[in-house]
Amino acid sequence: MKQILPVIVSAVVGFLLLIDFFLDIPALKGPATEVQDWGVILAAFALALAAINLVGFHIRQISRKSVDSIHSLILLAGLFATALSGIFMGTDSVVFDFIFRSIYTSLAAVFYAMTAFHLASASYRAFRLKNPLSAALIVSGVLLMLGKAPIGEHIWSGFPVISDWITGVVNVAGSRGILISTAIGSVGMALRVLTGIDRSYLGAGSE
Amino acid sequence: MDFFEKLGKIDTRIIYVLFILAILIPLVSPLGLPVTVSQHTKQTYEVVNSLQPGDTVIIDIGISYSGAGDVLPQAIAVFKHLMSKDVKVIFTGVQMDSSKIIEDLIKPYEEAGKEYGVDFCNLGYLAGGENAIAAYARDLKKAYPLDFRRNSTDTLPILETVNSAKDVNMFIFFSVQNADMYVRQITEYQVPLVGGLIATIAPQAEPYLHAGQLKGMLVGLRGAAEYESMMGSPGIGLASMDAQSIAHLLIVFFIVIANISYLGTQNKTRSRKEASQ
Repeated sequence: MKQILPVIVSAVVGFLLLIDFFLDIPALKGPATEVQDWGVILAAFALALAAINLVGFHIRQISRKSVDSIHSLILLAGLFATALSGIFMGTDSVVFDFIFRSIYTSLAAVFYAMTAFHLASASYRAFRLKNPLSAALIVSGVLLMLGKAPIGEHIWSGFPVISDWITGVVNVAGSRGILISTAIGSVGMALRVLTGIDRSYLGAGSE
Repeated sequence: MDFFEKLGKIDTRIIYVLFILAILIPLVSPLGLPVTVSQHTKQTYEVVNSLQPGDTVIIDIGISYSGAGDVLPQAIAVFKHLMSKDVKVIFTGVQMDSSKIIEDLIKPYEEAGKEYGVDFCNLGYLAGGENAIAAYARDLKKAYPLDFRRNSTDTLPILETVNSAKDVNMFIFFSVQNADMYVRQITEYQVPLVGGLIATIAPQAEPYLHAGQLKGMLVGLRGAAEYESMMGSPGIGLASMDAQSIAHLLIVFFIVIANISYLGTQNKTRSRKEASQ
């Protein structure tokens, strides 16, 4: 029963949404809308569950006095300071605003910006003309970088033309292939899940 | 260690310092390189420009602060364009940072006299990703009983005639993820769909643009700069273009010297082997 009930629920919900998407049946509109709204509510609960799980994990880390305890402590302090200031003082309060703008926003921006430095370092260490495939990768990468930056067209007016061709023809052909094959794969996967053949999402292996 | 080997062993710290300088110097002292407007941006500008005063659009802010550098300037430019045309904007969001980003976007216009609830509104973040988009596109007020400022959505004048995505004149999204979920969930409402994406993700959305499912697409910071250029209103996008140019050039330079070193070292190794044989 532990296995069968979730499969039945998944199948009913999945087929309901599928039929509602492809066919215009007024009787299904109401239930399909309800189910989609449940999805949003479940996602909100999943966020709360994730927060509880996160707190539990880091409390255990601290109680074990592991070497990373200090990191767990900082995480919990940040989590509670942000959540409590937002809940009790409001999201437009000075404290919440300070945490959000002066700490969170800056750290998030730095985190993304650091990838540029890694990219610069990786371009120097990893891009090697070892074989024809790596040569194709490097040449197309260089042409795109020069074609997409304003300085490229000042060096040679052909760079934007070539980079547009790579993006609009070569890339579109490849992306279309990936999109279509992923879509077909998703349909197959969805049918396996909805018909109960694949139950790996329940923690069991496929049968 | 010979010249080629030295060339291939530049300290990472030197690379980082050069990279910082490549970004900082053009920001402090701009080169003023003109930006040519791409076909993508022209198309996007024309689609947005076709909106009439009094039209209503939904803008979904799928931006997190980590990826904001690439997409937020696009949102700023497009929203400025919409406000100049007196188009009404309903903001929604599927990233946790969306609500605050939207508040920052609307604040200057509110201070300049535009009215919250009439000219724009912030419905805030809705959890669920694609499910959230599907839910609010189908029934906006049911998915959002309250806006971010805790007003009932039934009382907002801007939402008087808007119940679903079918009732707006355009759906615009700015996303640090992909365009797939918007295309899947919004195209059924037959509303023009326009997107703004980060430069690394945009190539994946090209097929949607070619197929006409996307009516326009802005690509990364360059897309924002081009849009600002078309509006004749320079902003953060255009200001950042010189830095991006020099950074790209520096990366190309690193690739070239690394490969000169690699090929030089390979030739030398081959010569040594031949000599020993």
